[in-house]
Amino acid sequence: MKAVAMPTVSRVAVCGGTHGNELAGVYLVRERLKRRADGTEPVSVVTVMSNPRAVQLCVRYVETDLNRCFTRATLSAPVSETSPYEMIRSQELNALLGPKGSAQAVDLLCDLHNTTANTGLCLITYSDCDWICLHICKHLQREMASTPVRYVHFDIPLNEAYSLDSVGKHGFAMEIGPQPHSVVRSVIFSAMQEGVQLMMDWICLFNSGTLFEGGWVDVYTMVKNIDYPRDSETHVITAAVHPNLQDRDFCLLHPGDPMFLSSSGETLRYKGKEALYPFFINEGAYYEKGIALSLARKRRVEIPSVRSETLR
Amino acid sequence: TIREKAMALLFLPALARMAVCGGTHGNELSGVYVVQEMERQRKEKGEGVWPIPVTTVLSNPRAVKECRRYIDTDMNRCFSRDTLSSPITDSSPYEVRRAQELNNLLGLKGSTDAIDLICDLHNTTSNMGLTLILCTSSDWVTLHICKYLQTKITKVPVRVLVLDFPISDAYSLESVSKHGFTLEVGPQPHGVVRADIYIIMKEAVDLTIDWIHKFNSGTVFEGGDVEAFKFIKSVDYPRDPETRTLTAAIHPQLQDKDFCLLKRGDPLFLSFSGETVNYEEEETLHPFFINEAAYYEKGIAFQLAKKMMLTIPAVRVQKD
Repeated sequence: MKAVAMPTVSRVAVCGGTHGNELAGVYLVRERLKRRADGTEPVSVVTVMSNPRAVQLCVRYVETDLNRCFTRATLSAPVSETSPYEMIRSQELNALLGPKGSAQAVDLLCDLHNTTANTGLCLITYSDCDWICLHICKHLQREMASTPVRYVHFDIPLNEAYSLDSVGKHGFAMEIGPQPHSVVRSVIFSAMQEGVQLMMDWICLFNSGTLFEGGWVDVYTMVKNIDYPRDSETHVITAAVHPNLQDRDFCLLHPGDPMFLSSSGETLRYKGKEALYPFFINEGAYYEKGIALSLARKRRVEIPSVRSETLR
Repeated sequence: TIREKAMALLFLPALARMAVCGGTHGNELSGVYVVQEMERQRKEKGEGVWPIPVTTVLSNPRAVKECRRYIDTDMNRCFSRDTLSSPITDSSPYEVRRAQELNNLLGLKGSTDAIDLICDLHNTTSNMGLTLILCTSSDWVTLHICKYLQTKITKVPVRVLVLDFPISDAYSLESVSKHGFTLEVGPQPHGVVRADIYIIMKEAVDLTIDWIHKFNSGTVFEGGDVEAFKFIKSVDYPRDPETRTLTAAIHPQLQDKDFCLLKRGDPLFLSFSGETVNYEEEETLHPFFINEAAYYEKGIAFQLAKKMMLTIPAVRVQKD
């Protein structure tokens, strides 16, 4: 593949507390805001606490999930005093860090999240050919010794992309698990801090003209979600993720493998025809969304060498 | 000696009925699913499904529906005599109202009508395995149940935690019945049900029913020593003096080390800016409830206990 010249990543946003009870990002944003920039950093970074009310109450959201409020439709809908808090807030964030899809949007938006699932560190994006995001992933994989780092792709067009990271020209959610909601675990905080620092290091190197060699990155593309078995009348969950699947994010799931164990001891198996990679296995916030786990296909994506454009 | 004679064999009344309570905290899900499953079994197989009469209760249904610890106030602090006898008005917290309902159903607390045993099911984000929490160290029934669970359950550590409150101060649900204990299983995130944790809790409830049945049927349960942890005190996180937000997290070397030894000089916290805070006290103690999510708002990073041995007598059911 030919080397690709790309614009410098001059404006970066680091966002935490998009879900108010995902605490590593909340504390990382608080730390960064304490050490305010003295103007000597090579990259302009804005640090934002996305959902301050939810952070204060230590809940995921106050009225509606903020991280589903960034579709074009929601961003352009008329708001009034009676609109849900998170809808008003998503439009504020879009004005601050976007507008989404415009030339004024930040170059890179990194949105910090935690999950109860055993995912390690994931960069979650809407593109499988965003070379900046893919190179940052490769850099983290190289430099983070004790944390698995993976690239997860949701194949959704930009207009329908619903999360905060879609506001930047480039963007991803940096998701780290496992951590219970409303808890901060020291090693998870440190991993997130390291991930953000490595991302900044890469951006600085990139902006100063470094050529980053191309190569290959494994990309996990979301295929479908699987819900819990539920009682047909009451809709109450009747089985938990099977012990053989619990904590096995990104381990290949074959047709016939155990998926759920009912309260009465019955095993329910994966009925799909294709072996797929499960992730977000048993995420606490997804029970109400009807998701027990997500399934992805893995493929190797070739990425070109990249270097920042120097404008003459 | 008189003591030896007294410790020889104690006759105690049969336990006519027990209650299994889940969802006292609405987001501690194993108990919710155990109660759900027990109710399904009762519907399918009838009242004789267990060898003794069992009442199953979803303690805080509104909190369970919303998957929150509580709606207005922590229900497991609402069973003090004062709260149970306070007049209910339109502005009374939901949980105070509900606590009085539960007292009518399972109590009245302190009376002879109170149910014989409450087993209250809880989860914790702390790595506490199966911990049996008792208000008092002198209830032979609950201590024998603990001893029985310790011998029968081998998948996870089974520990006994004694709070040693005077009975008159007790404010939790299990203080309503004649005998009571909390069955706490972790680690599990709140709002999540893990199959492995559910299985442990179900097994512990089944074994409790099993013990009561054996006891009521005349089995002699030998006495002996039971190792227990006695609550000493709580320790809070380092906090910003103005905002009260945390400035440090539990140190990686303490995280998940519930009931291990904590000695002077051992790390406790790692601040978000990288500094370590150590345990400076002389007394070696055992930390537990390390990094429990619900305790951040109560100002508790972990609690400390002293290990001790309780000697319990052999027991047998009193025949009429």
